[in-house]
Amino acid sequence: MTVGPEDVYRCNSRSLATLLRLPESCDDMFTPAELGQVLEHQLRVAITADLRPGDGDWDEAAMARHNPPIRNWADLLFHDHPPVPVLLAAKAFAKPGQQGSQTPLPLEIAHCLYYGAIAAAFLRHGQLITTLATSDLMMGFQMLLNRAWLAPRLRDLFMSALTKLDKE
Amino acid sequence: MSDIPVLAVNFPTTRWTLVLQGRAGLGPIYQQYREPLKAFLVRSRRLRPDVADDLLQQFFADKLLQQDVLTQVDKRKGKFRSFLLQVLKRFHLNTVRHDRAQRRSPQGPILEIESAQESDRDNGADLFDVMWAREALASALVLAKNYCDECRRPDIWGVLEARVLGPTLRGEPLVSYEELIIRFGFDSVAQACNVMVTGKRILERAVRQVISQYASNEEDVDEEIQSLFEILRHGPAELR
Repeated sequence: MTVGPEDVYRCNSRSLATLLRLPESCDDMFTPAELGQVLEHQLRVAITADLRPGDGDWDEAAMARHNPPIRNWADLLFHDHPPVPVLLAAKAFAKPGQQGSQTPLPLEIAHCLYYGAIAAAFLRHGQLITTLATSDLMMGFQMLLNRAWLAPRLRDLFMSALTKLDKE
Repeated sequence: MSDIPVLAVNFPTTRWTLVLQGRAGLGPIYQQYREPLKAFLVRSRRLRPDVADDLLQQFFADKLLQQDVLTQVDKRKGKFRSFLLQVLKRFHLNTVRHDRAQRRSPQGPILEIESAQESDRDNGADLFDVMWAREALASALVLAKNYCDECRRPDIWGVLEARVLGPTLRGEPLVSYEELIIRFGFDSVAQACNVMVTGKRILERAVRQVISQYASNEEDVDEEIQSLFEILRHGPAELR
């Protein structure tokens, strides 16, 4: 049954007050348990739903020719040879504070993509595609590793990147 | 990602315009503010609900229609909400005095006048403000729903209902993110979040539209939203 104005009269006034102070972002809308669901969904999302070839030096056809083909975020982040231009575009898309209002993501999910792109480039190509200091980068990986809802494959990715950084 | 239409909800006239139209504008004002005014009369002035109804009809007919009191409103001075309540208080007091004079009974009516003049320590005025806030939010809800319908975006209203309105107004559990994806077929997280944020913006804009009917500028709208927030947060939690 749809919510209607009559519900406003039945509701506790203190609860009602919250409708006058709704945060503008979607960060508040997910419980920690749900962030795991959101992340799983994000990993299944087609790259082209979030990135456009014009965002960097890459094209969709070339992605499809990769072996295995790269279609979604999981394909990209966990690929043995992920194309660096796409990782750069992915990092730019997810960079905190860089997203326009047209592509809102919960901040924690954006962090996963941002650090995921950096970790993939570092592990598969030995390239650090960030100007972050090593200590800050390690702190970022560690912060995400502390999230209970983090997808196991991303956990492995961050752990491997952290170990490799630590050795260098 | 699907495009979210820009919110452009517009009332044909503002409440202040209605006010300044005098009699022609009274219908909507009566509709919207009857309940808060009645709540005040019942709670603060101890009138029976049917007596309060009669008095309100008289108030609108005599004070607002015949005497065109609302055309004397200076919207630069104070809130419309407070103005309307003050006029009603004076009207009630005058009614009590008139009744006493007609009955020529010096004892009982004195108590009535004291009752009519008593301060609002019994929370009658607070209840009036809470009822006013509820009316504003109820109107905003209708406005937001109509807007989503007009834009043919049931997904926006559906998500707002599932994630904000249902849990807040009815205490319903949050519809899970996975369920939202199935129900509305979102292709991406960004799309789902965009719909969520848009729903919240539509509701916020609708609230502003409703309040702008009696607030004179954007600054007053901000102030009134803050005021209604405090009223609801600290005011009496009684239900209608």
